[in-house]
Amino acid sequence: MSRDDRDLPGELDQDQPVTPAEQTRAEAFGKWIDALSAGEPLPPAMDSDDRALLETASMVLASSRAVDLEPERARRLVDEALENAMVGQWPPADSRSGEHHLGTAPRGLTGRALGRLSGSRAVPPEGDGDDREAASRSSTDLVLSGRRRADRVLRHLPWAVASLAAAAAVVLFVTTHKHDRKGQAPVPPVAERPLRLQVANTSRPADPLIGPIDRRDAGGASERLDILFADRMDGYRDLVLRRALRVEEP
Amino acid sequence: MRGWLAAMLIALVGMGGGAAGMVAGCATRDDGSPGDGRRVTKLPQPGPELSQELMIALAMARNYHHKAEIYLKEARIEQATTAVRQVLSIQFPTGSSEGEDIELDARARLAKLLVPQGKLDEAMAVVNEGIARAHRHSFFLANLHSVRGEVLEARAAKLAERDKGQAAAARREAIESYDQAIQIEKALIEQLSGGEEAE
Repeated sequence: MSRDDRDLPGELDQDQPVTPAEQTRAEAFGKWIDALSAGEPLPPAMDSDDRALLETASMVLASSRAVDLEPERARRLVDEALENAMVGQWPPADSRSGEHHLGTAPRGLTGRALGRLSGSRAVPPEGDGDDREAASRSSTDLVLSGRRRADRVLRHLPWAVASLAAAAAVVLFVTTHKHDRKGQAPVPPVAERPLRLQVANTSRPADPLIGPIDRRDAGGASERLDILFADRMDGYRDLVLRRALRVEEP
Repeated sequence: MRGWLAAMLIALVGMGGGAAGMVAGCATRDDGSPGDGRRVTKLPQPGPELSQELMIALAMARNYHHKAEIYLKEARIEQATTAVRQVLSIQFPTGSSEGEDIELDARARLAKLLVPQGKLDEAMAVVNEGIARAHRHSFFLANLHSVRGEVLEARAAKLAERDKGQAAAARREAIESYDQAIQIEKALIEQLSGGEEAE
């Protein structure tokens, strides 16, 4: 590792002596690696290249050693994997359990995770009590997931039944309509019975209504017309009403 | 095919019925008329059913008459005359009995409005035209004859100072008009009373 290596990776000269700055930087990097192995957190401020190198080194360390998990922890992970396999969903990557998910490879391991994975030293993780409780509940998780699935099915069941009923109704309507058209003769139109006209419903002379006209009333056409109009309107309304109601004597 | 045959049969029957009705109508109009083709020996029979067209025409005539009433209350006799004259332009359904009655009554009123305005000739023309157009005897026709007598009386009064002979002739003609009205009324009253007894 040299400055030239960082700056010009393709032109590394092995013959040149190590400079004091490079020596200092290598020592600092070695301390960080040791600290990571011991489960200590990384320094808050760090060059991005150095951080990338540290992450790579921690992954190499984790993969080179066997991971020893507690039995409850291992059981919980297996339960989670089984549940996810049955439900068909994976928890989101940013959830609490996703941190320890088997199928996900964390890009940046924290000190806690690194400590668990290193196995060199049994470092009790933070919140271990919660994990134990979760692990104790893990045996019921399978039952709960089954219930969730049943709930989902029950939630969708009414819609499915309604859709089936609607489809059945449409099919029945179409089939019976076709059957009616094919199997039965066309219904003859119902002949309207003619209205039995009464005298009041007919146009007729106004003599019976008005009677003889007195000479003094010779110019009283307006009053006579009022009487005539009222009478004819009565008959006309009766006619219209009977026709609308189709009320007719046999 | 059967439907077409049935429709044609119904159409033929309908056409036959219509033709028979037309023949019967012509025969009815011609029978029993004392010279002028008007029925006096038979009660008028009900016609076709009341139609919307007829009711609209009746309503229009009624409105014109009421309009004339208002003009007369304001002593605007010329506008009243115009309003009554508009009744004569209303188109009633063909052959409507009410239409003929309304027209005769409007002519009677129009003549009565023309007389005080001194328009005796026009009043006489209105009356004579109505009498000539009438198809049957009615109280309205009798009333028109009566109004004709009034017009003749007014003419006789107007001619009394200038031409006593023409005035006397007008008076005689007026008496004839009144007699005509009386005859029509008598015949109609007898018909109506006979019809009521028969019922």
